[in-house]
Amino acid sequence: MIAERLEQTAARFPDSIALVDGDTRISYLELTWRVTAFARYLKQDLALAPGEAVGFFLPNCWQFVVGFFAVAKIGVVCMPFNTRWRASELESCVRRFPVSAVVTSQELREPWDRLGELIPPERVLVIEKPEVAEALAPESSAQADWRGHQSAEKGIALNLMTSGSTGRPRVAPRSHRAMLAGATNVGQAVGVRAGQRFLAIVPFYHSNGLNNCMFLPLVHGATIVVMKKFEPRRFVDLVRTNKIQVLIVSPLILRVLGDQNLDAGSFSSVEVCLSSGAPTPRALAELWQDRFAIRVRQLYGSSETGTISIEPADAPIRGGSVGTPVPCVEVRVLDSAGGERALGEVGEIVIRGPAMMPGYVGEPELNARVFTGGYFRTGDVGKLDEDGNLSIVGRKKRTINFGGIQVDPGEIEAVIEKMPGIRGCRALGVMDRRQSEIIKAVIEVGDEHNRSRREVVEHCRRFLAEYKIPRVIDFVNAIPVDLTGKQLMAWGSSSDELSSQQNEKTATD
Amino acid sequence: METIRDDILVRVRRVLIDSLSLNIEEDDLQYSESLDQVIGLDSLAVLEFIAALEKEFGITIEQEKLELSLLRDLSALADYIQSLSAAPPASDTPA
Repeated sequence: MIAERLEQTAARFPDSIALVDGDTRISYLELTWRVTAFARYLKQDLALAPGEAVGFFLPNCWQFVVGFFAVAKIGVVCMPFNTRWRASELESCVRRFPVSAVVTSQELREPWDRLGELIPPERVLVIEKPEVAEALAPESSAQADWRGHQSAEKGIALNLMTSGSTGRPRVAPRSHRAMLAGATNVGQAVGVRAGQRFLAIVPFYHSNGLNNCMFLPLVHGATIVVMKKFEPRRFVDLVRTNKIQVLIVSPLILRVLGDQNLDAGSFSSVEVCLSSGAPTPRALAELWQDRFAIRVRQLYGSSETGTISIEPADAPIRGGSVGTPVPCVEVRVLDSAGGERALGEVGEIVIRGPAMMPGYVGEPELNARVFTGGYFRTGDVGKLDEDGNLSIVGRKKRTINFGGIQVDPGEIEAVIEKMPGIRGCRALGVMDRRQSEIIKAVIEVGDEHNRSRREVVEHCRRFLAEYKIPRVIDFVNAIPVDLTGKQLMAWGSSSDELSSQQNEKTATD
Repeated sequence: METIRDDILVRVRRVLIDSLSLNIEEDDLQYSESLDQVIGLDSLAVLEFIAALEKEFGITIEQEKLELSLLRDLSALADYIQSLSAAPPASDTPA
């Protein structure tokens, strides 16, 4: 269904540029050729069958895009992995959610080479390998009429890894129909049109990156300029040289760019700027308005639901506001008994919409808890006002949002608690001085043990990706009983939880 | 020259601690120590640290040219910053 949609777009705009990646420019027609050739390779040479999954372990690049549509074309599920994960993290996922092959690059392949027992070497598809490279970029359109597999509407196109709070990742599946519905609704909310130019900087392994930076523009005949890694000056160059019109970024990117010595006209081509992944501090949105005349609009969504709401272009800047629901998405605010909250009253945000997942894979008990009457419980706490504007004031679920990536505190706690002499650990998110969430570990040590920050970092590195290693590490004799990690964290308000505990000490100091 | 470099070292260390909100005493971080011994060197941390260094010293660091080995050691980083020779004098910065 998704692949057919791309073909329909290509039939309307065959010569429009779909994708720019460095010096590589690919038209819509050429993109469909490449998708077909790679789909045929996966099906005929690797014998992949509908319903199987293929792991994607790539930076943002044209090969990811071709691969995504190719697996969709043969009814296979795309399963992207965070490219910063270590072999042990990948292994625990793949053991529970098997993949039949992995598409990766020479630079990133190393962890997969160590998982040969789970993924045989011939199933690690390195994009630089001649046979893979050839399938990704055929010399002619000779295979263009190959049909592949007509995916059912409810067939799963994408399995998104998402973290819970218990040390076990979850998989949120999205059907072909859900992905298309999401792209249609967000396209309407933002006014996406053919020929519009997007900068694709949010990683495609992230729900927002894949759905909004890649899939959304390609459904509408727009052009994406892919960026593998954020680097402020290169970002500004790409915006200028490609006359980028739509930016989808994170607050961190806005902050780093805001710190640069840039001309007021650096982003003059930009018509839409969406900030997502984490709350955008009000002061940062005001800085962009004042310096670059750009209204940064908050986008709110999740791996489970797709995009929920977006701030309208003409809305005043308000801390905590996440705007109005995108078309076809229903938002309600409930009290703890499941009753509807009145307008202006705070409660848990629940949502229902056509882009939503049907439920986590293999988690019937969890699914019974996270859905209520057909609505998904986001775990976020907020309120609706009389204009239909949604604001978020905190969080009910126990998770950490680091730079737009959900981190499972339970996973960090389990790793740290493996250290000898550690009696317990609580991991939680705290705000740094610039209102970004960072990871803090509060570690309870036995009286007879000295533990240092260095030992904890070294230990964590053996099991966890670098970004999961706590920035703030506190040693205590007893973890406070009220430190549950479920503390409410205000969107857009200031918080200084770090101030009193700035010294690294061993517990017995 | 030694005093300029020493001053840079002190400032690099403070920028590291402040920009990443680390709960470490400055004196507890050795100049020769590998940074990845005390923090996770993820891409966001590197990004924030470099942005803060650029602001502090009024320099431009080309991230693509910056080898990770420079980031691992404060002394090497201070040498690199000094080589860019744009560091303003110590009196410009608060104690």
